[in-house]
Amino acid sequence: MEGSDATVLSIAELLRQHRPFSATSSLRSTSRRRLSPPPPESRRRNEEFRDPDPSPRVLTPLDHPVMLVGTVAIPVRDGDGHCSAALNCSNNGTCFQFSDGASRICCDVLDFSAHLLGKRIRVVAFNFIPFKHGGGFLEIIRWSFAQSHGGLRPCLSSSALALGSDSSSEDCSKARSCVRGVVESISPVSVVPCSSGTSFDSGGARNLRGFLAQLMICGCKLCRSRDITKVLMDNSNGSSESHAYSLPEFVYFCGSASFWHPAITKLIGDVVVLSRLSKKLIYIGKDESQVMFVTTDESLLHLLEKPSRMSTRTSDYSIYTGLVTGIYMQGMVVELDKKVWLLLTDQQFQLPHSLRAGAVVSVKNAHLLHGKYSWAEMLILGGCFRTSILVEAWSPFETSCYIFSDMQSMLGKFIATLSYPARLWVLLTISCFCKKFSGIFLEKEMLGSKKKEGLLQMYVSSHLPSWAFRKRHGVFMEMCKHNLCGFNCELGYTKLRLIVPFSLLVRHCESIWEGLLVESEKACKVSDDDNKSSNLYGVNGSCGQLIKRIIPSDNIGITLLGNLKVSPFTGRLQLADASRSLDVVIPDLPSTWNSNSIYEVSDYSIVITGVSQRPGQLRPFDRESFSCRSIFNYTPLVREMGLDISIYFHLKNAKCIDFHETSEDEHEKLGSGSYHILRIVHKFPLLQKLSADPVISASMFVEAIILPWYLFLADKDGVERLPYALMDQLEEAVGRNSNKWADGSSKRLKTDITLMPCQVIVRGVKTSLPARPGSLGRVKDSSSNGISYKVSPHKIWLEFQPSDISKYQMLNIGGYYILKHGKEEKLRHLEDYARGMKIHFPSETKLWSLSFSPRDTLLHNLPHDSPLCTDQVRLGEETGNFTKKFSGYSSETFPDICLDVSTKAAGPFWMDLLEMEHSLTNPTVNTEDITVSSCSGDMISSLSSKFPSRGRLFPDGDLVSINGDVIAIQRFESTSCNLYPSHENLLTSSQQSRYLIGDTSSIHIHVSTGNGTVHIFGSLRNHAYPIGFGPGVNATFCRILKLSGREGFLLTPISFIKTNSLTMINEQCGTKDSTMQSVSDRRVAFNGSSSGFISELTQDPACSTMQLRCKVIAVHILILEKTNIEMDCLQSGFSHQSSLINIPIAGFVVEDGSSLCFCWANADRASTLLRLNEKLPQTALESTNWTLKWVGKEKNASRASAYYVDRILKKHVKITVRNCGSLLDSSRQDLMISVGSHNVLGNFEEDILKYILLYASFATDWNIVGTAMDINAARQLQKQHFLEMEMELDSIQHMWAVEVSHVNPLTEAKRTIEELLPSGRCND
Amino acid sequence: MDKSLSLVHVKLLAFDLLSLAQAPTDPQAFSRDGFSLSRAEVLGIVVSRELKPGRFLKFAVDDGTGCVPCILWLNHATSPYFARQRPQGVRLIADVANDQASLVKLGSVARVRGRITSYRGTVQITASSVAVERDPNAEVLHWLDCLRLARRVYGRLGS
Repeated sequence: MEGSDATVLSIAELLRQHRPFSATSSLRSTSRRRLSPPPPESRRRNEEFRDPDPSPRVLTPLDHPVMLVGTVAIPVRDGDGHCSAALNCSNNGTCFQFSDGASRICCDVLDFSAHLLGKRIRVVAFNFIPFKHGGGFLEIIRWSFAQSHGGLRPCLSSSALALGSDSSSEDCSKARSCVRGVVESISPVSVVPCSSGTSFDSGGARNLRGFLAQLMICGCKLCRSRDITKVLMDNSNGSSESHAYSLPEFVYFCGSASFWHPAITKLIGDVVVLSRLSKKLIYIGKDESQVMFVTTDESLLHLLEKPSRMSTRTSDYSIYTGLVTGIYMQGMVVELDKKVWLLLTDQQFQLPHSLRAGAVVSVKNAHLLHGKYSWAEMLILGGCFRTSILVEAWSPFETSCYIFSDMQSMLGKFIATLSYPARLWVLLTISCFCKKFSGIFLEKEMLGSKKKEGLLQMYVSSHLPSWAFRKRHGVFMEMCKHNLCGFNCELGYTKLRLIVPFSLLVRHCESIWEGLLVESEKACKVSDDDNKSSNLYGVNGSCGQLIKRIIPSDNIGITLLGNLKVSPFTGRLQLADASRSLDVVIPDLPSTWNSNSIYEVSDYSIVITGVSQRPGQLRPFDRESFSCRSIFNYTPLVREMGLDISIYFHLKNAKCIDFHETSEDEHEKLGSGSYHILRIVHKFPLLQKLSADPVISASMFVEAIILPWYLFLADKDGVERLPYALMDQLEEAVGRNSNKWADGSSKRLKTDITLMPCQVIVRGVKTSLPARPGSLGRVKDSSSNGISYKVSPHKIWLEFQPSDISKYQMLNIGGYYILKHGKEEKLRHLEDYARGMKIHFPSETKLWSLSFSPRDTLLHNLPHDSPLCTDQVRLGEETGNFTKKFSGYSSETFPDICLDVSTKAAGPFWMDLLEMEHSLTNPTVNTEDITVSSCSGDMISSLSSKFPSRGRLFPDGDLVSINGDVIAIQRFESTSCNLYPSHENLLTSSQQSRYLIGDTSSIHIHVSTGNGTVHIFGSLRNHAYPIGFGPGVNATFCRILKLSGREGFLLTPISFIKTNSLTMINEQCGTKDSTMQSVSDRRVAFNGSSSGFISELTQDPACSTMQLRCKVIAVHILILEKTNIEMDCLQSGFSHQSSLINIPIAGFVVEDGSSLCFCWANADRASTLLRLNEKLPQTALESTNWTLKWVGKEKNASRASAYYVDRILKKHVKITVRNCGSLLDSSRQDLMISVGSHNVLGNFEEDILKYILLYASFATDWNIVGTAMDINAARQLQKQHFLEMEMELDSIQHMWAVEVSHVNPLTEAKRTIEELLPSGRCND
Repeated sequence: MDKSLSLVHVKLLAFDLLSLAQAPTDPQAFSRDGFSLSRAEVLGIVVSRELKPGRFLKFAVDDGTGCVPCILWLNHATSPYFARQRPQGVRLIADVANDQASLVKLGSVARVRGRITSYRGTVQITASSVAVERDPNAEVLHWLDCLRLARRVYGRLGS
């Protein structure tokens, strides 16, 4: 007898304890079968929560039996018709109440029966969950009637329960209808504003509260009867089986009956009879009306037995039962079973308190959709007004109750007007946005308020296509016309892109990186035999070597959103959000960029550079990094891998979002006046002080040359100001030469200056402004009047304060800039001290980058080794008009200002410019310490200066600049202060390199220049390390020391590395196969490739490799080459002879019974598929007369195909075979064979080759692990190998073979049978 | 009619293959469950063999569910079909065919691939390649393959 010795608790005591607990000790003492049966999901639930997820704590069980005595009732209304607020319950009258006479709390009952309502019960097993702000929630697990001593509930067949307040009244004149049916769905409680006095409620013009229930009724005569006794009688006959509940009918529970919402929810699926209803025509929309039953104060609810089956009517609604694994976004998103996302965004919807993480719930009448986004796919359960949630088993965890918060904001309303996949996207975006910009924006600013739309809504609505919106019709309309809430458009959501916090992106990149490493490790292992270049750079294994990967944005599927800023720690340009900042490279960033703006970038590349790790250090690839769960549950990264991740994009592809509506006017405009023209000669790397403060605190220095020319800009009215600057210049020039100069300067000015007109085009952040007239001017060199003077370029050093780091970063070596000349004190400094002296650069002074046009004219006249002529692939080479024009310097292709100077008119200007450029490359520079570079080769050019030689203690040589492609970089941890590391020294320091951590590291850079590979050694501080620097970068190494008497160059503390372009080379295993790289980039995990059919091979980028068992039907394309390694292993059998034959590419037609496929392979894979290592049958030799040609039949008898191929290659170097005949039929092939030598392929050679290809198509099955390729990748592959494009191949699926192996029929059969018998095990 | 399998050598068990109906429109094609088929692969024990040198090899393959008649043409020298091709190339193909014919021995397990044809109202295979399997497990694997394909690929339209 349960509860006999239990302590009776009062509700007040429960509330006083204010802690969650579970009082279930009574359940343990009694037989389990008598309990409400354990939920079907309970086993699964335990399994799911066993994983090391930070799962919530299990509810503390009370060690002694307790019980509660009281009544469960529908919510009690107060005077306003609202549920009592005393309960602290936000669910306005939609949950049951438990009362013990003294106080009340919210409750829910697991095995609910309407009969318990109002009866005194004993609750012997329950969970208590306190609310945060007082009050609590009782989850009743087991109860019994207090009167019945046996603890069993009376089995009442049917009894009437009064829905209204006035059931005793016998006056049923108005309300005589009754309805019998299965409760199908119910709407949330809504309030209809009533202005007329004909309210059902007692208080006159009071708003009408109510909800709609849809009942499925039977059309039979009996059910249609108005006589309630007849209707109820039918049930006693037990003939409910004969009823077909298929006709929809609506009942409007209004007034006091509206408080029956929780009870009716529990009755979904049950047969009920409602009597004393009235039938009315209700307006459900503006022009729509519907006849429905309406409850009155006298209405009664009669309960019948549950129908054995649900109605036969097919419904598009579903019941989904699952475990709640997470509740996010204030309950708007509920995660079920870790895979289904239940959206409850309608504001009228009120979640039951018992919907806690860990509970098992049934979701009834929700729309199940398949959400396909660019970053993930998921199942969505869309909740509409018909959706009900019933909790089937209470959560065993201490998870808190959902407290309904008022989401009446504009954003909430906005979300409700979207289709489900769009809603989930918006919710994810909200979650990300808030995390990204917490601290940057106020929460209210982001989310908006009731009256004002927030930033989020602005952002989101600008990205949603029009069809993502849908019209809402209100609860009544959507309940009655359920097709109105049908959402069938699931397409097109792949265009919606996610914005994630950058730290999450970093985590994702790390996952990709590790996947790639695992893969490359494997690939290296595979091709180790025939590989010859992995140790090319003197690296043992691949450890310690820098590897770089570029991932295009399409493979990431997300949009970047962040603030552009310059990091105060590293001085680098960064895209930042609240979670993290990422280094960015923006080639076209104008000097006038706005750091207040938020940029949205959807077209970008992520450059990841890192050290290849040792096997075994890799973590498994985490596919979950962009799952909804990890986004909603986001926690900042604790520890990162230390990869160098940078983003590369063009500003023209980015969208500037001005949330603060700042306009370009705020920026400093290029006003009228006179400007200096500077040319940057060298940038000195950032100096790091030996202080603990990571913020850059030292000044930065830039070496520049001031041209004797000024740029004069007319003001808006076109009035040119008197070029005072020239007067200053003149004064200065003359004053330097003669002290006699006193007055009449303005008179002289007219005669001594040169002025030439030009057009000035200013590029804005967003648009180019119209051209403005301007002029270039300088003082003529003169020697008249006994005063001779000459104006020449001055060398200056600009000193930038740490706060001006962004200005320093923007400057490019070799670039031209203009600087305002003024009468102000500070700018006079520039004039006065511009004599090779250091000048302090005032922080308010602005520099604009400058370019000249026309370009061609100038280029023709330039010396060939001038930096102006360097012909390189530039960052952003294919961009707009500005790049076409003379760009001033190699990588500066996006200047702020473009000067259009006609060559004819501005001859003197060009002459000066040319002379200066010459002076920078020729030895005629005035300073005596600069000499010409003695270095050979035209790749070494530019300024060179003598490094002071001090015996043998220090390295000596000339300072030179080198431009070239970085092939490889090795990093070594610097432990000793080895300023002069020798080649050998560096290579023997075999310490494990720790990448990008630590301040200084020794590096060894292999750079490919036009004349070969050069080696650059030295130590490089992180600050001097350019963003994205790594293999594949085209870089200029400015002022590095050419070691005299030794090979190699040394980086010095003043050396500056400038990256010109980023390209991708595949340093994986030393092969330069970019196509293979593009394929392998897409497959991020090699392990666990699933087996399947060709017809199931998809081009999904997320899809990893697939194992196929297929046959070669025909060889379509084949290139055979001789390898460079000469190994005389011809006599030693042919176990490894494939290494002698290089197959750069081969294309096979393969088939597996399900479909055809074009399989591309190279190296060993191709060799295996060609059966080159298998012995050719005797007939081959007989039919090709091979025996006659070579040696003797006996000796040839045991040769493999590779032997013959090798012999042919020895003669012809390279063989290309193409099939011009039937793609499929090997006997109808028409093979075209071409050779690399000038010799003609002999008949027998041709025959044996053809035989080998034919023989390859008679093989049995191969196991091919491959990845799908799209047609573009296949085309690129063909292009790369100079193969003709064949239209025929366009329609066929393409694949890249990663691994090829023989089939073991026994193993395969076992695997297949296991697949065919899913539950059975295949025993040996 | 779904033509996605028309170029593929479908793996069918003998009873299935022999019950194929010729498509009414195209005598080259056969239909099964809405798919148009023209090529097939069978594997089984060679139970009969009839060689006409220089003309053809007729043989039958029994896979346990039925017996599939197969024909391997050896008339490359005389057939007008090959007349236009380079004689050396034709000789190569003829040699390969003769080589394959010599492999077909009574009791051996042969894998036959070729076009599905009809001869005197019976379905047969005009072989384009014949290979002999040495591993007895190949036969079991072939059955399982047929089952797996029938379930996952060929039954797609029917079910």
